[in-house]
Amino acid sequence: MSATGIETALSRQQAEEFLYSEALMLDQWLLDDWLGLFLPEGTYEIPTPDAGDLPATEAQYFIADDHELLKVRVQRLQSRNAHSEQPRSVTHRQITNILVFPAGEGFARVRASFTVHRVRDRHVDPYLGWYDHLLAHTPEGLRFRRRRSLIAGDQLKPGSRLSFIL
Amino acid sequence: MTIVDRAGVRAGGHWIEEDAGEPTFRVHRSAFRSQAVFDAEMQQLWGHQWLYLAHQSEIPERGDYKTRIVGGRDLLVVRDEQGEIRVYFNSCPHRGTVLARQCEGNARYFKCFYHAWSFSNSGQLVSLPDEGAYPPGEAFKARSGLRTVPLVENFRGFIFVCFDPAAAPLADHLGVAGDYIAMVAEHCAEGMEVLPGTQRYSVRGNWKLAVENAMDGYHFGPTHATFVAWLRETGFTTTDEGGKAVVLGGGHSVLVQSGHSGRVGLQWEPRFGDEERARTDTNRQELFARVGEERGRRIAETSRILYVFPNLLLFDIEALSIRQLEPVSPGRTDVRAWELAPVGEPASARELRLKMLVSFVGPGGLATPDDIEAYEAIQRGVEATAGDERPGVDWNDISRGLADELAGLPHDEILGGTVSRSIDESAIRSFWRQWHTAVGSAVAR
Repeated sequence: MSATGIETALSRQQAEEFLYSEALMLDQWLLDDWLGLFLPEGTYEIPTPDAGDLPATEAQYFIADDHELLKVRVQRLQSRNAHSEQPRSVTHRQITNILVFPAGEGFARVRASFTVHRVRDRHVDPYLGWYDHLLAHTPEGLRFRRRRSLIAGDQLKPGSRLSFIL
Repeated sequence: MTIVDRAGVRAGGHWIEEDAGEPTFRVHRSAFRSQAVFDAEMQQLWGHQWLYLAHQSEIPERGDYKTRIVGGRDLLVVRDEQGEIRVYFNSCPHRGTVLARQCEGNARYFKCFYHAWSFSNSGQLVSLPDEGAYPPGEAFKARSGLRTVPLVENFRGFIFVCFDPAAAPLADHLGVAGDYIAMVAEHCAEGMEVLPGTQRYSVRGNWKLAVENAMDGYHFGPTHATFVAWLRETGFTTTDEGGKAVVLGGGHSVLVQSGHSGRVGLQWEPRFGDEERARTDTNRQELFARVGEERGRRIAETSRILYVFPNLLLFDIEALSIRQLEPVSPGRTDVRAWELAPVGEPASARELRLKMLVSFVGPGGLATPDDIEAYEAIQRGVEATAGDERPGVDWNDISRGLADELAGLPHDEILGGTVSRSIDESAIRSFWRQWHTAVGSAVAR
């Protein structure tokens, strides 16, 4: 415990628990609950594969949502006019190879591998990649400061749009 | 039924049927489905037209290279030791191996891994193991250099290639569309550069659906309802009211919107913030002094979506996006999108530019996924009527605004073409007529 009374060391099991719960929320399309997992300054990012280590302020990403834009994304995805997700994709998420790194007082960096399958339009499309999240310890539990998905490979395959949360 | 025969459109309806009596314009759906059409397109169209390859800023230093499949061919574009931009087929002259197997890099020499033949970035074969077993003298080596693409031209930083050595010069192909490319290049006195980070994605739809979609102001309201609602909430009005579709000839066209939309660095709006306001004023003064106020206002105050037949889309909107279309099969298209920005702009402007565009475009934006949904839903939908020979069943309708067009649309000297409403379909028809001239007349349905 730190001076603030907030748990600062994160075990792999706690990180797993958090990621698995998040995956379940997303598979169930509980997007308002999911939005609640973000700090008010939390971001959601999917860099382009050739952006390297450049931040979203210097390179074009696929997704670079600040919290305001993330709220808009979540609101949009719950509209019946979000045609790209009407009907909604069925998603099936598997998360493995979880590693936890210290990231300064009150934070932890969590890296993991994911395989997400999206089922829609008579296709099953796999999305392979890695998570590189920055999590904050808060009195309410773990929260995203940065939720980053990195896509394996140099191109999104057919049908692989990012209209759902990856 | 009266069939109108003009602009090289074949009367009697193989792919396109135009009826002037009850003004209708229809395209046969097999144009999206057929492998024979796709093969004919590859040969007749992609094999003979000027194709957009890359922007010069993507390879700024000597030795910088990119590999890119364009028109179905793996190409290697490199800036050689003399600073010249060269484009080769990415294939070893010896036995055909792909020479550069990375997407990008910097190389003075390209060495084929198979038998270790090495080529300078100017294309000469500089070494090959056990040279003595080959014909003596320089002739053999001289003709074993990298195979160049027949035609390469750089238009205001935009590099185009053509696989037909007999094609007319690029400027002839571009025509008035060239002036719209020039307006993009004129945003900034120091020039324009492609930003790092390529959006490469693939859609399950025919490439022509992406062209139709970009030249279609009619879809914006219904397809992008959620995006439009958000823009309204943020105080940004968007409507295609007053938008113009300008047919430029040669299959090129442009949608022009003036008045209301914010454009980073050129036209301020409240959501851009105060710092950007002052910067925009300075930029505009510099622009007007450099190109004249009339042209400067055109560059700064209108948003333009330009289609350059057949594979380039330039979105000169809130920010600048270059989109390249690459057909893979009748039902699949690879898309690559880059952001273009003024050289040397301050970090805060760069940040705003990236934020504006990424929120909208690309497979993860708030708008483009709904366009992708449209291409994919059409590609699936047009299968339903395949083979039904009853009149009108297996056809798409592109008649919107045709009566006005037949009555004669006004030609605008400044805009450089015939003008109609962007919510009409004249730009889409101009694309199909050019397509028919290039390929549709060469293959039977």
